Amino acid sequence: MSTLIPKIGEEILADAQAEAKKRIEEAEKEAKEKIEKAKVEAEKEAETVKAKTLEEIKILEGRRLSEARREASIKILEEKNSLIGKAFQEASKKLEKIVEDEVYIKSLRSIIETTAPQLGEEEIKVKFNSKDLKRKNDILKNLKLPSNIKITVDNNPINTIGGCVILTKDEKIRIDETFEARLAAAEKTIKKEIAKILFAD
Amino acid sequence: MSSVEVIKKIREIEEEARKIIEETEAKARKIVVNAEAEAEKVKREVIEKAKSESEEMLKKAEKEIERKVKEIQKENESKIAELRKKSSKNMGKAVDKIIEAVLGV
Repeated sequence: MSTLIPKIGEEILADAQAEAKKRIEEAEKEAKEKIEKAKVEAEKEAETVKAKTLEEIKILEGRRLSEARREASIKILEEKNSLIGKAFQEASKKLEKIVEDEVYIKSLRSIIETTAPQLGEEEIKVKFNSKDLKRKNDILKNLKLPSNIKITVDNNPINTIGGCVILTKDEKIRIDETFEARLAAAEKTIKKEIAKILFAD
Repeated sequence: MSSVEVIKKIREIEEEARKIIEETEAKARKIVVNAEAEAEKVKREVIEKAKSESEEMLKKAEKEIERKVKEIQKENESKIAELRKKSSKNMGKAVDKIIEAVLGV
């Protein structure tokens, strides 16, 4: 009996130690797995954070560059409009001098000859500025109009650098052929053409 | 050894075995708890690092975007200068064309 006790005791302790060893191994395995799982999850989350940032950068870049390009296009457009406007201003200044030349009288006659018949009336009234009123006879001389059209000049001067206003006798129909009106019309009709000339190589 | 002594001895050994198991269980729990804390720490560090890298990426990108914007502006200034140069060269022709349209001759 006395020799049996140590053997049983050794067996009980050995079993306990084996179980303890197994338990520690299990715990270490569980610990390792938990850390590995955390690493995987963290890496995944980190990737999401970075992907989100990349997307944010892409949107930011797209928005900012598109804004910069839009602003640049507006500036180009403004500059072109300003330069075209300058051409019309220069033309206006030049027209103020041209009214002294013979070509102006020819132009005025041509305007009257073209516009007067368009009114479809026999009695037509023409308005000039004060300077042209003084030389109205010279302007109206040799005017090539259908024989039924009679032109009368309104003695009240209009405020214009040149050109005239052509009206029916009752003034119900009025065609503004002053240089200001013709310049404004030209600005609409030949703006593209002027831009083409102005910005040609 | 009497029977009572034998039983007492076996009980003592069993008690010793129970203590080994108990201590091991506590040790095992501690290993797992420590691992959980370590896992949280690892997770926190990796995410913090990613956030910090993201901030760095964003700062770098903002600088790069600003550089590209300046490049667009510079290119545009050069286009505007070119437009001014061309318009200066062609202004006479354009003015003549407008006058021609106004005079109608």
